[in-house]
Amino acid sequence: MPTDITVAPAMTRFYGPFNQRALLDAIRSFLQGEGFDDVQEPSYKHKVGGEGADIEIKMETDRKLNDYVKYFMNVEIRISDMKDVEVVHNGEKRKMQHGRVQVSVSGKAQLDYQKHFEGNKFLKALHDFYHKSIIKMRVEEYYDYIHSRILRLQRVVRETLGSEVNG
Amino acid sequence: MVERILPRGMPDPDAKFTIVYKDVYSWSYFYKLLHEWLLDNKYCSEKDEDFKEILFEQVERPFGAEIWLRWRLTKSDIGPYKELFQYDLDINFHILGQKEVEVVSGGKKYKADKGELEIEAIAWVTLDPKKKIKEHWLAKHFEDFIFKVFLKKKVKQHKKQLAYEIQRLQEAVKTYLKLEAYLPERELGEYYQKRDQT
Repeated sequence: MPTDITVAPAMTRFYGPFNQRALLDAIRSFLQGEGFDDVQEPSYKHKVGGEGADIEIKMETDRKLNDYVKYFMNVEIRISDMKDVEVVHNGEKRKMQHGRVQVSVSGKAQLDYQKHFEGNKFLKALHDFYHKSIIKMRVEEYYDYIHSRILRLQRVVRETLGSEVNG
Repeated sequence: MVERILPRGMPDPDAKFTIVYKDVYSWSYFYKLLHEWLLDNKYCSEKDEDFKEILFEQVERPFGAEIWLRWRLTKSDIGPYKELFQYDLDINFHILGQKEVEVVSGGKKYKADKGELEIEAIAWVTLDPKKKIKEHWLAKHFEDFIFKVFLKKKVKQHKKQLAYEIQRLQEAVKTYLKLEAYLPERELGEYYQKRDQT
């Protein structure tokens, strides 16, 4: 049975002017740059209401490290009360959006994704022994890898959102 | 939420997406546009009677029409070993509170629809759809070997191809609805109208 090593999600909240296109491109580029080539978007919601548009986008991607370990990254973007605005920056007019942005980044490493240790109690016991004794240190490395990618992506998101304000 | 109908016997889809959109659109134009995309990509034939729309239900409610629509599509002509692979695509629509409205775009008045449109697409690669291997006296004993070892690369290639096609379908929907899309070339970007008639 595959074992998931889950990393706690990192959250970014922002209120103000931002560039939706730049934000989505930055997230995609970061993931692709990290070797997560196939970024899927299983859900996209866009609802226009009285206060502006509410948008919810989910992105999912995975990457094989080897025949035993697979990394998963999930990004959930929620934008509420979004309106198109024109912002003057250095004397230049820019089309941007204004609203509340919440970006949640989570991830996990999945061990034994090909289910080699499935079938009987002996294999299950071997699986536990393998994880707890033989590759224990490496399991921590897998956790660190995902954790550092989550934090890096969070920084990219903050820089992209923040740069719209700071220039 | 569209009622989940598990694809015909397949627990895990190879590609899927959901788009929920609440604003103004033209339902009839959107319907035609998707039909054209499916026709161009060989998921259906030109004959209307062959198009598998297995459900169309419209209920008029005080806040507008509620519509359910289910399409079950299949693509068989997919390159080498074509008898052993088939793409299946289920598209479910659920529209809430759809009403006719008049919109002004570019100084002209147009009739359009307003409501909450949900599109769910689920796709998967079906192996041995015609049971050529399952029913062969000798090959049936090596079915696992054939797909997991001998044709492993082909299976992977088809799953990738299907995922790409479903991404293109998603982009076509997004292009019409003017949502953020990513492919370098916009699917149906130049020829078809967008929701605001541009």
